[in-house]
Amino acid sequence: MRAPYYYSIFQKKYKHGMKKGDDAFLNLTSLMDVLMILLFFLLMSYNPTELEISPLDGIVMPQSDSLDMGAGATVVQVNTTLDIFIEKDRIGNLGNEEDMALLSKRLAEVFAINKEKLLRKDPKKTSYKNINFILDGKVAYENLEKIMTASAQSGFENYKFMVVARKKK
Amino acid sequence: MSGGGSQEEGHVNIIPLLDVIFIFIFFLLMSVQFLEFFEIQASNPVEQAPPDEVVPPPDPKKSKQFKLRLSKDSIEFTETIDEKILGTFAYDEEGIINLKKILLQKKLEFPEENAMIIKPFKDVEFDKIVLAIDAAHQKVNPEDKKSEKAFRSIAFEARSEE
Repeated sequence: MRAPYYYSIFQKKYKHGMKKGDDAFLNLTSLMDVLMILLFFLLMSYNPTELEISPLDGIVMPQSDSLDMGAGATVVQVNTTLDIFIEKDRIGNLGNEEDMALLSKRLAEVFAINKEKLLRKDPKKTSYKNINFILDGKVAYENLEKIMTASAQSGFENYKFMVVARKKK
Repeated sequence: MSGGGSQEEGHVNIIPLLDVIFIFIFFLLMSVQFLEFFEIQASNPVEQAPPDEVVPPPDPKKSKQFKLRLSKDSIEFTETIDEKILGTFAYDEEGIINLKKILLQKKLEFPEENAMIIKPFKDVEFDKIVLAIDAAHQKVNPEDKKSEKAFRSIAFEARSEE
């Protein structure tokens, strides 16, 4: 006699009646249900762009209505204490003139590396001119302008401000 | 039993399907972001032409140059050619709604105008700049998500000492 498909193989009480050679079945229906729900949830939150954003601790990004998907680029981050980071490396503080000079120098280095790398892949690409800014919402414009100026001087022409989706009321 | 066939039940082999789903879930888990990030594009700061430089003026019937001057407490919407103030709005919900209304009205009046110059004072917070840009980037037809942005091109004006 074959065991009905809904008998679990772990339920020993059903095993003693089985003859040698009978197949044991694992009920996978509930597992499939869970996996399908998980799959649906993950598909809804899937980001198709190559953009990887990991804001530093303490940075509260502004909320926006923008729905433009970002693209991968060099990331400059500024937190509330005006510390500047390229990707996750701390460069200095916006209040310090020497650090600003260092920022320009580092940005120029990054720009040169990105340009060479991207143009080798595709000479028509201009995305090496993109720069992503992750700024805390409380950063004043005078500081934002300093970063934009340093970026422009280093060759980055396309500014992209990273924001988070506005919470619906 | 239909047809008088075998009493054994037929089974669909779902193991390959499970394998595929597991790989798919793994791939999606690797690329999942639980916060939704978007971007706002802007151009280099624009400098005003020096007084001795001759710049051909744009056709005032087709185009106007609009500017949003942001101070700590309010947004001033101006026409730069005529130096005319079109309205002053607070950063609260009502102020932003009114700003959006007048921006949309001007867009419908001058459909070829796509640029908005943003001129913040030095102490204006980034949060407020994003609010102003959002207003300029509103959809021409708010009910159609695919409709174009009212003023898609955003440029910051280089700040004079204020």
